[in-house]
Amino acid sequence: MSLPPDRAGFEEFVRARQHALLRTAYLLTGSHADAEDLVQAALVKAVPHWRRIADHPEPYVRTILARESVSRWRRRRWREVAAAVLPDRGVPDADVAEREDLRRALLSLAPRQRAVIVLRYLEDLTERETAETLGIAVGTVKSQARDGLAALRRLLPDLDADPSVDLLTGRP
Amino acid sequence: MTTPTTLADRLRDLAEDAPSHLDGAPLWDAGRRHDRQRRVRALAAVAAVVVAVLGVGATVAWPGRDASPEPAAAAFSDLHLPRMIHAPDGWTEGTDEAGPPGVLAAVSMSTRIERDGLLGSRRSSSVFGVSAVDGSTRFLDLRGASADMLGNGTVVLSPDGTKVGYVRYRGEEVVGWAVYDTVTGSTRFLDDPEQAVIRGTDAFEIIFSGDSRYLLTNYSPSGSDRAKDDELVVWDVETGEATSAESQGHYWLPSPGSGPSGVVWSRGQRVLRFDPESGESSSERLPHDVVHASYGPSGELAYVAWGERSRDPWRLVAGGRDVDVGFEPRTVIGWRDAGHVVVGNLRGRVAVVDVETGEARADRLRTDTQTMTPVYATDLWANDLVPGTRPPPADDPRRTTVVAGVASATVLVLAGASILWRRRRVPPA
Repeated sequence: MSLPPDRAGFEEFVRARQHALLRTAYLLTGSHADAEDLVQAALVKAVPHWRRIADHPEPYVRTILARESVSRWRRRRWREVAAAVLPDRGVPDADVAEREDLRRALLSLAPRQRAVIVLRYLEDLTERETAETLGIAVGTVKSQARDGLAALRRLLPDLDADPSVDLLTGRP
Repeated sequence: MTTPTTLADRLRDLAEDAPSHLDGAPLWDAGRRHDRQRRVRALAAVAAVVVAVLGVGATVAWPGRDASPEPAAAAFSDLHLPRMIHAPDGWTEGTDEAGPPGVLAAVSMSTRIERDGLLGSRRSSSVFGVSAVDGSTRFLDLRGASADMLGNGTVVLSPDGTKVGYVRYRGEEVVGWAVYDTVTGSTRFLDDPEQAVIRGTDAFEIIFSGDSRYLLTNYSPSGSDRAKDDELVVWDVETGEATSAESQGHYWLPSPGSGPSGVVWSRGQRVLRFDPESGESSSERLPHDVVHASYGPSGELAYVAWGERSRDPWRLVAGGRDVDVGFEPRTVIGWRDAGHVVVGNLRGRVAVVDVETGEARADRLRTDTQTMTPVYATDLWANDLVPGTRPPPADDPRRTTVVAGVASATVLVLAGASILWRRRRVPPA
C-alpha cells in the first residue's frame, strides 16, 4: 500500500538527511542519546507544518533543532548537575582525546553560544542566517560568537594560539 | 590522518562521532499526535481565557446579584417607610434584569436610561419601587404599561406593599388595568371583555382597597362617555373577577376611602361600604361633606371634611371632633394602630394623631423626584419610619461588556499573532 504524498515526502527527507541532522544535534548536545532525541523532537514538530515546508524543509527543521536545543537546556538545567571539574580521561588515543576535549569544551559553553558556534562553523551559516535560525539579532550572534570563541581558545589552547588567526579558515 | 587545526575542521571531525541514523520510531504518526495535542491545548487555553474574561465581566456587570437575597421573606416588623425617597440612578437595573423587588415601601417615577441599539441610549420616565426592607430602588418593568401615560393616579401601590396597580394604555386610550406582584414578579391583566377601549370620565384613576385585595376603578361598562353611566367597579386582584360596587346613575364621582376590609367610598355626607365577597353594603351619614373617609383596624372612623364654606380649609375629624394638625389635611393616609391615625397633605407633611386625645405629632416625607408624588404602602405606618437610602450610582452595563469584549478580542488577536509568528517564513537554506 502506497503512503500519502506528504508522509512519503517526509520519510524520504528523514532517510536522506537524518545523518546530517544528527551530526549537528550531536555537537549541540554532546550526547548520542540526546542528539537522537533532539532530532526526533525536531522532526515531530515539523510534521504539522510539512505541507507548507515540503519543498524546502531543511532550514525549518534546523531552526527547530537549534532553538529546541537552547530551550531544552533551559527546561532541564534545574535538575542537571554542573561539573565544575571534568572527570579524568581514560582514553589514550590522541585523536580521540582531541575530540573529547572539544566535546567537553563545547558543553561548557552556554547553550546559545554553543548553537551559534555550531551553526556558524559547522553549518557554515552567515551571521544573518544564524540570527534568523535562532531568532536573535545579528548583533547577538556577533557577541555570542566572540564570547564562545574566547572560551574555546581558553579551554583548548592547542586549537589556535594566535587570536588573530581566523579559526574558521586557519588563515590570518 | 591529518590533525585538524581550524575550528571548523575540528567540529566536522567531532561530528563524525554522531550517531549515523535514527531508530525506527514512527515520527510521522508522532507528529500528527503532537499536532492534535497542540491544537487542543491552544483551543483550551483560548477558551479558558475567554471564559475567565467574560466571567470577570459578568461579575463586574452584575455585582452582588447572588449576594443580595430577595427581601420578600422579611417579617412585617422589618418593613419600614422611608422619610426620604431618592430617585434611582438612570442606569439602575429594572425588574426584567434583577427580578421582583419584594415588598415595597413606595412607588414613584423618575428618569430612566436604557440601551438603544448597540451604542445608543434613550431616556424615559419610568416607575420605580423602594424596598420596604432595605430601601433599595429598582425600576419596575410593568407589562403593557405606557410609561409616557403613567403618573399620579395611574400607578398605585397596595397598602401592604406587595402589588402595584397601573392603567394600561394603547396610545392615549385606556384598554384595561394590571396588577404586578412585587414578590412573585407575576402580572395579572384586568380587562373588561365587553370593552376593548375603556370609556368613562375617570377611567384612569385607580386605588387599592384598604385590605390590598381589590383594585377600585370607575368607568362605564356600557362604553359611554356620560358621567352618569360610570360605575364603581372593584377587581379582585387574586382572581381577576370584577364586581360592581355602585351602579351607574350618579353624576359625581365617588371619593374613595379605606377600611380594614371591603371597599369604602363617600358621596356628600354619606360614607358607603361594600363587601365584594358577600355582596353586602352599608352606609352611614355624617354631619359634614366628606372628602376622604377611613375606618381604623377596630372600626374607628376618621375623615377629612370640607370646610363649612367653600373657601374654608379642609379639616380632620377624628374621635368625633375636629383636630388641628398644623396644616390643611388632604387625605387620611392610614393608621399606625387603632388609636392613631395618619393624615397628610400633598406636599409631604404628615401628622400622626391620637384619636383619643387629639394630640398630633408632625412629620415630613420627602423625595427628590419631581415626576410623580410617591405612593406609600400605608400598612407600614404601623412600624417606625427610617431615614431612607441613597441609591448607589449605576453605569451603562455595556461599559463592562465592552471592556470584556475588548479584552477577549485582545486575547484572540494576541493568540492569532502568536500563531502567525510561529508560522512565519521559512528561514533561507
